[in-house]
Formats: sequence, C-alpha cells, structure tokens
Amino acid sequence: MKNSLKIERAIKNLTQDDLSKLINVSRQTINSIESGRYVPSAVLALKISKVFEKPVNEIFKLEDSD
Amino acid sequence: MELISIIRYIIVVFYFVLFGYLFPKSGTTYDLFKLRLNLYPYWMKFVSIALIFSCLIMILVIDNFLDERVQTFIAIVNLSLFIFVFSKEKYEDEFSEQIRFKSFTYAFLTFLAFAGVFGVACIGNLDTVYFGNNLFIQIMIGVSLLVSLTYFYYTKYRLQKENR
Repeated sequence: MKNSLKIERAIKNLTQDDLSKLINVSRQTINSIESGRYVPSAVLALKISKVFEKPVNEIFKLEDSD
Repeated sequence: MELISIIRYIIVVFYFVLFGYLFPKSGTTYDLFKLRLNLYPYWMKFVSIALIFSCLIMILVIDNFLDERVQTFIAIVNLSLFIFVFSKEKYEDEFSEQIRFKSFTYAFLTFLAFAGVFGVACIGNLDTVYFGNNLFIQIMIGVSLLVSLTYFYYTKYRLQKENR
C-alpha cells in the first residue's frame, strides 16, 4: 500500500510532530507510515483522513501487489 | 517461617495480582492485532529496574547457583522482567502495540524452542538435570522475557535511528 501522507502534510504545512500530536500517536508511527513500513489500522487511517479533510482512499492507495 | 520462604510467598501473590490486573477486561473484540492488555503504568519500569539490579548484586555476592536464596533472587529478576515487559511506554499507540505483539511471538517461539530442544535432549534420562530442575525453568522464562525485551527495544531503537 502506498500513501501520499508526506505530500498532504506539506500542503497543510504540518510537521510529523504536529500530525502525531493531532492524532495521538508517536512521531515514529508517522514516519513508519510515510516510509511504507507500517500500514495503519482503519481507525488511524480515518483519523488521518479527518485531519486532511480527504477520503481515506485518496491518501492511501492499493498497489498491484496488495 | 524463614525470611526466604516469606519472600517466595510474596512473589507468588505478586504474580497473581499482576496477572489479574493484566488480563483484558473486554474480551469481546476480534481485533487480534490489538492485545488490549491492561498494561502497568510507566513508572513500574523504574521499580523493575531497581529490583533487577539489586537482585543481580545479591546473586553476585552469594555466588552459588544452587543456593536457595540465589534461586529466589532469580525468581525476583523474572518477576521484574515480567513487570518491565508488560508496563506501558511513555508514548503508547497502535504501532508500539504491534511491535510488542511481535516481540511476544518471538518470546513464545524461543520458549517453545528451548523446551523442544531440551525435551529431546533429555529423552531416556529420567533423573534429568533440566526439567526437574527449577533453576533451569526459571532461566528458560527469563531468557524468553529477555528476547521479548530485546526485540521490542531494538526495533524502537532502529526506528529512532531511521527517523534522525
């Protein structure tokens, strides 16, 4: 699964630290999601989509290998 | 009653209390990747570190593994490791929960591997020095808890390094 979290953050001018505080997770979690090492749960993905005011499937996209 | 026997009873009571606290109160979820354990508070990590170091010093001072007191101290070290493994991190979220879940899996596999290897090694040896030996079982539990701790903190360290 790929995601556009980094781009969305840049658009909203948010640092990893800011985003982590908004959704109550650690900065490592955000970093791991951005680098694709960690796929968040549906709850966390929905929290992220709420922050960026975009549907989940616009931020997180399935790849052919998924 | 000897002091060492009283300490042993206290350890048993502590295990019961700690297990009782740890067990999830809402067991209705099928979210397998969320353990939903009632982890102990963060400050208990410091208590367990203090206990581990004081017990290790006592073990080194007595310096005889067959001594009853040393075996009791090893049991306290195991209890402290148990507290350390099951206490909260400063920042708890679903990612740390998943790393913890994986570390438990590795600890369980280590325990099984230990039991399997020594179980086979002891076939035909009825007066075995392994499974009849309390010290060996204590060490097996301790090693499994250490594997869990090592995996958890090594993964966290690697993530922090990558983040810099």
